[in-house]
Amino acid sequence: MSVNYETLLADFRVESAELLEAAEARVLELERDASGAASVDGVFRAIHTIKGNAGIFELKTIIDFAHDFESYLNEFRDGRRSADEQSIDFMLTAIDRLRILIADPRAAVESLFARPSGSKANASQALPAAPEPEPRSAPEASAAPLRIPAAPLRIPAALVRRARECGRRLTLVQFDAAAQPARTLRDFAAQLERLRELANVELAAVHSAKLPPLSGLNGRRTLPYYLLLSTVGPAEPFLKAAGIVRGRTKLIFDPVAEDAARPPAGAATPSSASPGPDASQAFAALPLSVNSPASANPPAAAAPGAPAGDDAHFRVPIRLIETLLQAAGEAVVARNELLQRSEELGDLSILGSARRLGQLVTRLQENLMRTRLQELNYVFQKIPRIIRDAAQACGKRVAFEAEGGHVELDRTLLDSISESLLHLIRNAVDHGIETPEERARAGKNETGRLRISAALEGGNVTLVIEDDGRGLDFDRIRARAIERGLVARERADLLSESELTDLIFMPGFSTAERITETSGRGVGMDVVRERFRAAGGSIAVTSERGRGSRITALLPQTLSITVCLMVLCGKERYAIPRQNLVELALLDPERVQRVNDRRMYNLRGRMLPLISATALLYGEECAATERYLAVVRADRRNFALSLDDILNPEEAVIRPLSAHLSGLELYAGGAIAGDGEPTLILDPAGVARRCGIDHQESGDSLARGETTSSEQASREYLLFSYGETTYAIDIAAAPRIFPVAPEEIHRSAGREVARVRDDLVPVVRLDALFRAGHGAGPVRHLLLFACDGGTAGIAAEEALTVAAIGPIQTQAGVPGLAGRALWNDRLTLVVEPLAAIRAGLAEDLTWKS
Amino acid sequence: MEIMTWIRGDQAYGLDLRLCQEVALCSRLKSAPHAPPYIAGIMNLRGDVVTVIDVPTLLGRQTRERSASGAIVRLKNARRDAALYADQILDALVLDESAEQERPANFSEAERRYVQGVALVGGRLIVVLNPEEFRI
Repeated sequence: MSVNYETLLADFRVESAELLEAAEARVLELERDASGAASVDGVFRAIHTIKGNAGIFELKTIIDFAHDFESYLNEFRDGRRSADEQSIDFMLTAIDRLRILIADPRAAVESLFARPSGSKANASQALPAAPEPEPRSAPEASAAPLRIPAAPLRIPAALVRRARECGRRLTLVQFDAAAQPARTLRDFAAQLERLRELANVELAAVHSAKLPPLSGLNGRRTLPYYLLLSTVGPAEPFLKAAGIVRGRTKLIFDPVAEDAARPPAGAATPSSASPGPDASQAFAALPLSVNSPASANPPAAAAPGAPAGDDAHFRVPIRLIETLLQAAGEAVVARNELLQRSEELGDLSILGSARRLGQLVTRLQENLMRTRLQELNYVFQKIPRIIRDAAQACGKRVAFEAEGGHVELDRTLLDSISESLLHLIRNAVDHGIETPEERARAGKNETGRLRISAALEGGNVTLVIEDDGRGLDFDRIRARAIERGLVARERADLLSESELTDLIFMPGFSTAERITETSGRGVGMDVVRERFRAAGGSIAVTSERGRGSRITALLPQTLSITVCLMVLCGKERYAIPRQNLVELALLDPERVQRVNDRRMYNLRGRMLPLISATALLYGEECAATERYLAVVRADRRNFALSLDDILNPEEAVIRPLSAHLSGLELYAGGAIAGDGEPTLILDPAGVARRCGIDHQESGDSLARGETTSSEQASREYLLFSYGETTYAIDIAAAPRIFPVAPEEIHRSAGREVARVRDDLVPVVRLDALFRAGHGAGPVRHLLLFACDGGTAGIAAEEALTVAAIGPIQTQAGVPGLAGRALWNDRLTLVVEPLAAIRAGLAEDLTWKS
Repeated sequence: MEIMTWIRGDQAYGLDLRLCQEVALCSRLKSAPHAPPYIAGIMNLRGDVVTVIDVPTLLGRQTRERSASGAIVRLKNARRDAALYADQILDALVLDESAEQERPANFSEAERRYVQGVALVGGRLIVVLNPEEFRI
């Protein structure tokens, strides 16, 4: 193993970014609780660690900047400065600057060459313009002694246990890495490598909490480095052989001493502190003193987030995990082959071993999959800063709550949606939550509430972002949609709240009245929705005027393994992702209605577009053998997919397809089935698009409203009879057909209502509304529509079919009546359902509740 | 330049060796409906789903049926997810610059796009594929 400088530097950047995030969180804590000394310590520790690490790479600008930052922080610790808004701002800006420096160490290196000495002045320039009392800090504080918490070194009990089991000595070695003969990091790494070859190095680390200040030691740098050696005999000869000089050793565990059943010499050794191999030995404290003023101070309690001594996590490059996963995937396939062969062979002993191996491989793969998971906290912890900046920019006050940060999500997925998530948060602050004055006027607490929560359910992660702001302003959305030409004026009035909500996801839609600093740049919800969709999820918004909005996003926890239903189309096997499946049914040919070239399936009164998977894949002539039906959901729209046969569900490792195939937008990926056969995974959204039932398309046509008569002619309408009249409703309005018995319609307080499941639904009779003059007929079906937050039904006798109708002669003046058209040479009244319902219920104001 | 060479139909083909990941036996191919005609199908290559391309069809040439005992040349593109079908793998050989000849003038558009040139090696005419087109 060789240590590569670039790799180390990359690690440094990653670690520093995390430290800065931790520091930022602490600064924000300090903002909430100005007396929080622990928070200042936390910031200090993070900055100090960065400074120490930067020292390894000799990144002078970072070191100097961090040093000045530390001096500034010391003023808080000395009580010379208190946390006010200005200083919080200042610290946040300093953290941002440090981020820039760390992201671009090359610039830092150049400036190192540019000024050989006296960099202090330059570094101070790098500090942002400070609020008033600042200038005092730099020169003074560098002279002030630094207080470094003397955090105890913690040695994982597992190592002590292992040493005992193997009868080896554990020796802690402390030495100054800066004082080694090695002049470069590479040489030092080689030195350590040499030691590794000779002895068993259990741990090797710079103990950040014990770093002395890099300056203030008369210019001499020290870098206390700790090694934990596990050896049979004394450790010193190994150190000598490896060329490590000026080291100090301390025996942590000695099996000989243990055998003699007496505490080993050296009062501070852990085994003396807690004799006996029990759990109390979980961590051995070793107060090694370091040449720094730190030891003079009382030890500050080990604050949360201290990076030292944590053996629970281990940084692994993602690429390595990918390689392992790939190997595990191959192992699964090989296992399947082996199982099949040994079953054919019939040798029970081989079969037993093969099965055992199979279980092991499964376990291996499952656990490897889990290594890709990352806690949502990774994103959640960035939120407070985002909110603070956004709230400050628009003069609002926001209290933030997060829940479920421990829920884990595939790292790739998390990366792909984290920006969108932060955008949603920014949006909520910017558009959702009102200014304190507005809130006071509305009788709300002046501080707005913003809450994000996550939960894991059945392999899906649900994310909910709620605020108690003003909610979506539907009037403004409507006005903006008209202004942007997204919807025709006449049509806009008819749109329901959920349809209006949909509009905010359309490209280029932005309701912000002015372009603000934080959001409203017009890149918005359309991009967000696209991201969630690309990650295999969905996103929806609900809102209540004056009460707030709620965004619900759903994501699969991992991309890699998906449960797929294996199906048969045209004698070939295909897979359908389970998350797209709504239900399975037998195909009843009686329920298929063929209209023009399009087929609809009547599933319990709901008309679903019907697509034959076999015909789609292999041509119409092969579709005759289909016997099954899968109701599939894609882009929030259901459709029925007819299939030859339904096989078993299988857990599939989804493999990306090459561009030749993924570009077809028909397959979501490939998978190797249990018997080793390659299988294509159907992409329901792509299938829907290919067959022209794309949600976006129908949504657009709904929103556009104004269409030419030829386009109208090609659109499809649900035709139904009532009385002696035939009516037509655009299927884009998505009616649900609900069967009722005529006696189930009740009249109460001058209004007709019907019982639909557990709800009472108001009923509108079109004959009365349109004065059609052919009298009422028996009500056998209700066409249910979501309207203004409630549900209402239009009375119908029979649903006839779904069909295109002739050109519509528009008729103005009758609310709810769009016009007349011919269908099968019969006069048909074309209904605007929502307008009709509103008109029909106009005199009744109480129906919604 | 070192090239990998193979035979498909009556023609020998070659591709820059640096773009070839491995050579493997072609197991059962599964066709992908609606794929371009030059996609022979997908194949299980040790757990990976690899798309197999039939080069003559890509070049718009007539070729004969794929044999049951074919092989593939897996491409070393970013995701290693594509391979070229071969009836028979020949050898990796060093292509002398003098052996390389210009593309014949009567090449079709597809041939001009996917073929870098032809080379005469040991009396065999090899169609050398354009590495740029097989990198992705």
